[in-house]
Amino acid sequence: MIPFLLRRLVQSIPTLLLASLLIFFVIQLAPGDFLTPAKLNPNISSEQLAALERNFGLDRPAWQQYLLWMGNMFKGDFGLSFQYQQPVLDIIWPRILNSLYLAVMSLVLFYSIAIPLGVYGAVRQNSPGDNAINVVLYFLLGFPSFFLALIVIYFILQLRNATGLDIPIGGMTSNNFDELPVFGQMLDVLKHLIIPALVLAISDAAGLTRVIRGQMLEVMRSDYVRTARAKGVSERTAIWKHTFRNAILPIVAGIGGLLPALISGVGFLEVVFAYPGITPMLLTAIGTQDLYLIAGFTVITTVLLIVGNVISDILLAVVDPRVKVA
Amino acid sequence: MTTTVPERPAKPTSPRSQSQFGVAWSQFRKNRLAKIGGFMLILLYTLALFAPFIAPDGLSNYSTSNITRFHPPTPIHIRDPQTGGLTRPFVYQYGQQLNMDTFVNEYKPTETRCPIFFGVRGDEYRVLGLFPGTLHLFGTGAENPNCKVYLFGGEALGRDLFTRTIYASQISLTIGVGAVLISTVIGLLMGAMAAFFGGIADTLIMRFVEVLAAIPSLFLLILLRSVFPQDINPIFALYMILGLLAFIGWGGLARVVRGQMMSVREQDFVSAAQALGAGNGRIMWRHMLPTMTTYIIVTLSLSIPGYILLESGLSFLGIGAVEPYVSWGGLLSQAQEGGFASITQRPWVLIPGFFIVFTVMCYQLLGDGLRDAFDPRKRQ
Amino acid sequence: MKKALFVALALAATSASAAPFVYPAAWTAEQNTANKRGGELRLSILSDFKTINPFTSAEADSIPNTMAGGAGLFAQDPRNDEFLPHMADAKPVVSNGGKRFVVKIRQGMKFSDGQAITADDWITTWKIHADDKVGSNSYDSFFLNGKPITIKKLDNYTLQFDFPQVSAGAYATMSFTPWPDHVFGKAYREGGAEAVKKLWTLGTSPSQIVSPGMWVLESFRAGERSVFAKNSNWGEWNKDSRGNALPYLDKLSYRVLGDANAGLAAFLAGQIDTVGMRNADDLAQTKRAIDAGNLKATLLPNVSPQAQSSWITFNWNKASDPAKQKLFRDVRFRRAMSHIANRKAMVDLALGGLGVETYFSVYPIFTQQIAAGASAPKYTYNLAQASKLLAQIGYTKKNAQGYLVDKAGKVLEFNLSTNAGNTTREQLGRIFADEAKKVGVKVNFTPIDFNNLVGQLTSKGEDRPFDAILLGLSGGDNIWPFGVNVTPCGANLHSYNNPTNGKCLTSQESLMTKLYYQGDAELDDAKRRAIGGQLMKAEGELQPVIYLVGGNYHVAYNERIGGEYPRALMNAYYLQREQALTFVK
Repeated sequence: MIPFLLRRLVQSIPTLLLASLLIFFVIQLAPGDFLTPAKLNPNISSEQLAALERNFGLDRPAWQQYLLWMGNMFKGDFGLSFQYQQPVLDIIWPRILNSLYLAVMSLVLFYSIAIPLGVYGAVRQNSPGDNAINVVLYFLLGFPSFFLALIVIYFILQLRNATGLDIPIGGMTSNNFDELPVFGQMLDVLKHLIIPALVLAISDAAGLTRVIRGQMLEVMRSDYVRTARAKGVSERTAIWKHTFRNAILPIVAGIGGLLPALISGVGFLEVVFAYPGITPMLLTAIGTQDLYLIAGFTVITTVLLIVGNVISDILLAVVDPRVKVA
Repeated sequence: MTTTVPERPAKPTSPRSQSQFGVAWSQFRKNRLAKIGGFMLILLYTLALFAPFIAPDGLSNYSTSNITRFHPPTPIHIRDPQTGGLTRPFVYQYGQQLNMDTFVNEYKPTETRCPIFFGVRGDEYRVLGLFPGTLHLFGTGAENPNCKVYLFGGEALGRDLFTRTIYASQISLTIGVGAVLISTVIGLLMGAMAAFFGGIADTLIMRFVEVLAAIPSLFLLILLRSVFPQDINPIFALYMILGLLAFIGWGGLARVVRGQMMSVREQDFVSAAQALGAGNGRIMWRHMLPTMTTYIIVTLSLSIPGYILLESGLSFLGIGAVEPYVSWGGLLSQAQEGGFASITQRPWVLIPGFFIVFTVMCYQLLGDGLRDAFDPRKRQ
Repeated sequence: MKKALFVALALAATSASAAPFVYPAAWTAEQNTANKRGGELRLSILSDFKTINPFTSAEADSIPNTMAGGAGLFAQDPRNDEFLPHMADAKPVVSNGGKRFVVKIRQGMKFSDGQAITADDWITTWKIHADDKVGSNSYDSFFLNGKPITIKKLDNYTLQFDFPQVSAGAYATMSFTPWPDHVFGKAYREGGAEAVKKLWTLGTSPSQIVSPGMWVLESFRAGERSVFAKNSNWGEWNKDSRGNALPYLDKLSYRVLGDANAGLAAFLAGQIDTVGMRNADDLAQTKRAIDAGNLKATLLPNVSPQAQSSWITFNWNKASDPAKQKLFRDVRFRRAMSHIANRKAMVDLALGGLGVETYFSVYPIFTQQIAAGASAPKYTYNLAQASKLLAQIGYTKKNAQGYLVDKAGKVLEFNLSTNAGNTTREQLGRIFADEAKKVGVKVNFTPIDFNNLVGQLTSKGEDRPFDAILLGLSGGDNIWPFGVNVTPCGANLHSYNNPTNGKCLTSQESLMTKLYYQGDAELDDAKRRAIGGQLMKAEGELQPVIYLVGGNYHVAYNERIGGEYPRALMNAYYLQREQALTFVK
């Protein structure tokens, strides 16, 4: 195990170097830079543009900018955001945390929806119930998330008007958040999280549900389950203890892959729900070509991806003894 | 997390592929949902192929004098209101006025009737860019250009939404096919190679996957778009770009294939083949890759809807298909921009969204059916 | 002699008494006669605030700009656009042919931390803004044609401004917000530009923030909400017409609502007090909610045109394609293009019927300037006239596809781009291209990436990489509503003709450049507008850029807040209200 981890650590150095090179130059080579919108401002002169370019270091050749950035990164300094004039980590950290709440919440809901439905689908294979779940989940899967969110917000608005309940429409906290006691604050955040998390969980549940259903079917027909049944264990034990435990092994093995997704936020949904997560900030950063902010965040997700892959590889070996960690 | 993660493939079956496909086919035919999905997809692709013929109007036809912005769908009448008897189907011409109190363009049917003809001459087009024609499945003819049939209503410039939706299906239904093929082939090969050879090859390939995953694809997209000359057809450019993205988009697939193949590699029949002195190439092609057949088919049928959704996301960000061309995602993001007005004032603009939902669903049902059909242990 | 002494004494007397600034009663339609106080004005912004530092801030909606509300030497009166002394005690004494202004500062003003506001604060603020190492967005406003404006402290309450030349915008220039010398001046003297840039980032505790204006930052939650509290020191020298301290409100809050639909939803649900009405759809939704009794709000449609433009520019510098260059440089061609632009259809289709046709670079909201240029020529929608002009250039025959061809059989065509993702512009371009087709001009219209587009537009040289671009501009003021980097030759937004040497090509361009500087140096409003009228005439004749349409500005606010401007004062420039006079009913 230890030599394996050491080897992966050594391997990750060239991987990260190459990745950072690609990240930097793909962003750098895209047309325009942070100052492009300023060129359209009727009140900014070309002398000032040149001065700004000097200030941001954008007048230097790309390779110099890269080396400087790389060098600083070894010291734990991810550079300064052009927009915020603040260190990159200071800016992304609170937003990553916010995104993490939402991602974890939605993951919990996701598993608690997908697992029972998947097991049900396998136990009652091709029953009307199985087919109905199928169709409904695939129907929801087909909605682009921004479209689904608009519809959901519209219905919340109608529901508010109809019932007079104070259902949050977006954001993460209420106006009076700072005056609430600690417990009230947690409840307030939870109230704001539940709708976007649920929308996300339901609309994506199709994939995992089908995987669990398929795995269950596979395991249910294997010899050892048949033996267990023959021994006379109850149906409940046969399904949950003997089948389910084995069926979810490959899913457990894939958990490492979720790591980068946890901090990358839940995408457009954050935008539509005006949630203060990482996505709205990233989209603004992309729109304004805030070079170091984007590059810094991408480097972090890449590190997490590598770590996640290591975890997945270990878990794969744990789950399937035939595969050796190598 | 947008498409179904295909599950573990079948454990090796005997390579008598003929009968395997035969069995699968008969299994597939028993699955009603999958059959419906498959049939609907064939229908959709046929619609797309003959789009210019089926659409009553041209892709971007509208009038600047007779405003038809957000024209409501026109009901088709088959009874004469006076006599009550059956007549040639017809629609009423609508009159429009902007209500300055509610800020809505209000449409009211006038007395003018326009008969609907089948096989009418109209806007010029080319099927597949090759066969010219002017014949349209249905339409109101050229007699009164201000009186048209709007099956799905009109969009923001007053163009017929049905026509636009049908034309959009050409882009939406095909945008992912090439990209999916490219990324599947590369992913499969790389994954198989990593698993089979192990050691340095495995390390190199898997680390390369990690490097590729780091590339900010949105920027790559913008970068690639700016590289193409401006006078090139923007739709052609879009296809090319998505195809190029496929060259970096095979990482996840390769990882899954590698994991699967590593299990397979340790299985008895592979060891047997090795003991019998089979070469690497032979073991890989004849013994290991065939165990992935199911997986390939299913991945193919499930990744294409993924690209349909991806394209809609790009349209939402304003980097999808551009005027006058349009995709379903583009039509939907225009509806999205209208916000709640699109839901309350003109719900018909959401129709293209349901085409996306419906297509993705059909692909999933089909993929599901195929998977079950190819997997001996899921047969009933 | 005696008389002079008397005047001097009188001046001293007024400054000693430190009379407050009184907000005219006419600035609001709804007097707060019951003196209702307290409450919060809830607003929204599209993207998160980026910094608290006034010297690195680059956006219009920002924390420093919010805090700067009500903190400038002069304030523009929305009734007549004139400047009233605000932080200044009186109108300045002008000398040196209109280039020197001596301004007395109102005494007794304090920052939110209780420190007195004195001449040093202006001097420090000016020095930091004008230091190019800081990179302030206001840098340019302290220079005129590259020559610096200098400010001198005569005593603690007297400033002397020296302009390198006469400037119409002098009052606006002098009205910059003074930031505390005891915070920024100290850092600047000790650590220079770098030290200033490190101050007041979003990580700074709000308790350390000091404001000269009516608001001071109270709390900030990244990506969510910022709350400002009233600065009661400001209320000591700002009163309403009945002598009550301002502002009436206790708080002002901004919620970050990045998606415009989420913003509208929050407004319709009564969670924010006002939101920008983008178009007819927003108006319709708000109207529906009001009619259904779900929202108590005031909705004022079509208050004024927006302060922005949309236009098509043709590239005169195409050395690689002499035929196109000749075409684009031909005034008859550009007039024909203006005749092709069906502005009415653009308003009806792309703007939902709520907008105005435009023909000049001056935004239609600046009505006084537009009126002064009423005689300038307009080339309105007229396809027959367009065909005639194109025939004069030599395009008389059409080919089989119906496109005009020249003698050599070459089709009359050009590429037109706009930025992808802007639906309105894509529709404007579509309509233009489709109308052009009717007279036989082939317009290849393609939306492209925004940054790419701007790169092409602002490129310099003899062979610039575009044919025609459809884009829009906003920004600029109502004093001299022509852009310093748009109108004169050689400026980077002089988009139609931008050769390496920056020289004018036509006599009208030279005239426009001359008139631009002449107007910029004219202090008399009427005379300046007359110069502007001549400029519009030259611009109309030359048609360097084809102006299209502009949307309308609409106002909607929740009934719970009062104190908005009278209807006649509301417009896209002064917006809907003075925050100082706003109160919760």
